[in-house]
Amino acid sequence: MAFYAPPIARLLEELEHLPGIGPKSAQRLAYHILRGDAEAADRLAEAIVEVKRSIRFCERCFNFAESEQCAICADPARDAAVICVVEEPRDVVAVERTGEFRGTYHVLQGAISPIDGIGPEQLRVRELIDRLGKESVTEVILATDPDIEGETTALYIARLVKPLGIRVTRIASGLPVGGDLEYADEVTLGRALEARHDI
Amino acid sequence: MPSHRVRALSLKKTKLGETDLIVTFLAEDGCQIRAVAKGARKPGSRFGGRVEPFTVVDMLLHTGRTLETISDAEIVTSHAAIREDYDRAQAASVVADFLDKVSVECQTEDRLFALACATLDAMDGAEDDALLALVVAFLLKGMAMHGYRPQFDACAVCGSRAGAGEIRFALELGGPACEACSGAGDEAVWLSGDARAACKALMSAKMAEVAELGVPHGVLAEAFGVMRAFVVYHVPAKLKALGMYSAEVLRATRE
Repeated sequence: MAFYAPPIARLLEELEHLPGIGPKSAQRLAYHILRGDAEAADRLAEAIVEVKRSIRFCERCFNFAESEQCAICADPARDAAVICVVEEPRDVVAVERTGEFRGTYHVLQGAISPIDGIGPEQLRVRELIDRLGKESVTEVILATDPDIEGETTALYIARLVKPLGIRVTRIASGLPVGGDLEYADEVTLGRALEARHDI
Repeated sequence: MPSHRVRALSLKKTKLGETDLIVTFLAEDGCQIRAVAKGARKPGSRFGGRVEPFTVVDMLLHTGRTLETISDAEIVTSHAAIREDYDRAQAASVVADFLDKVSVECQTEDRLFALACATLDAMDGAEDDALLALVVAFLLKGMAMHGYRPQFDACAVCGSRAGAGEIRFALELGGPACEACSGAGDEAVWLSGDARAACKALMSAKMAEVAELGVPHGVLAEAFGVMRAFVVYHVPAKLKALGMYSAEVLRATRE
């Protein structure tokens, strides 16, 4: 960092803390900011400060929210009887993009991973169970990732929710649209066959 | 750049960049391999489902400057039933975590891979009440292969025969110590006669036969507690899965 003026070195240091940004990318971004006009730099700085100041977790579903409840929880047109459980706020965006789901969400803020020391206590599982006790929920859709951590989390939640008499479903897993059957692994193809449906 | 084929067990995966994974494997010769699975987190990936933890795969690896890259992978055993049961997944995580911490790159131990596969095969078809016995048996055998074979019948220092019944199991020595050898010392735990007999039986049984031994849960829980302390004492890394599983065992014992 001795090659740079102290303000540039500080900017580079901060940029390098961002995920996926190495020294070269940090340098490229820093020079882009330096070459741009002052207003653009102000807008970027303000946007970063504002997002940190104004965004918090929704007190109901733990998605990102601007007020106490996120836009989805606050929307009366949403079906509150169906809850889609996801690992991260970005998964909410992925499900919303499908346009197929009109219920509400519950964001766990991660998945159970014993090898990383992440257990149910570190996730928003207790809040989900509390929510099921307070709200009239008829179905919980478990939309955690189809990997070992996601499956373990789904199994754990299913074990807690089923005794409450609420329907628990798991999103289907199988072949991706546009993929070749011959390249599918045995587990994925097996699940696709298991979840086949009439046409 | 050279390529080579290897059969390995997937232990752990770490996210790399937007869509890649670094997967930690235990190779057939007992060495640890860390390889990049490019695009493994994309839904259409050829590798995603093939490199999930607890899966045994035949891979073609491409040797890069730092890490290896997976060019091709075929599932040998998926251990699918482990993925579909919470208790099995918890128990299998202890196996994967232990192997991740004790295996080393370029350090061969042929028996470790066979033990891991036999344990996961047994867990794949085991009833819930047999899982704890499989975990204890795995830890006993795994520690023996790691160079810390526990002793239950003889003084761990001089080899003189230990008395029957309860013993003080010295964690540092890996067994009881007679009075002539200054005793077990401060860092020792009590091991009842039943738990001691169970440990001996589990140590000598094949993994496929462990479930048939029919050791009561209370005895297994005691043996697990001692083995956990023994592993924690000698393995210089935090085994988080073992800690979580221990909490589960404690909860089940209280119930």
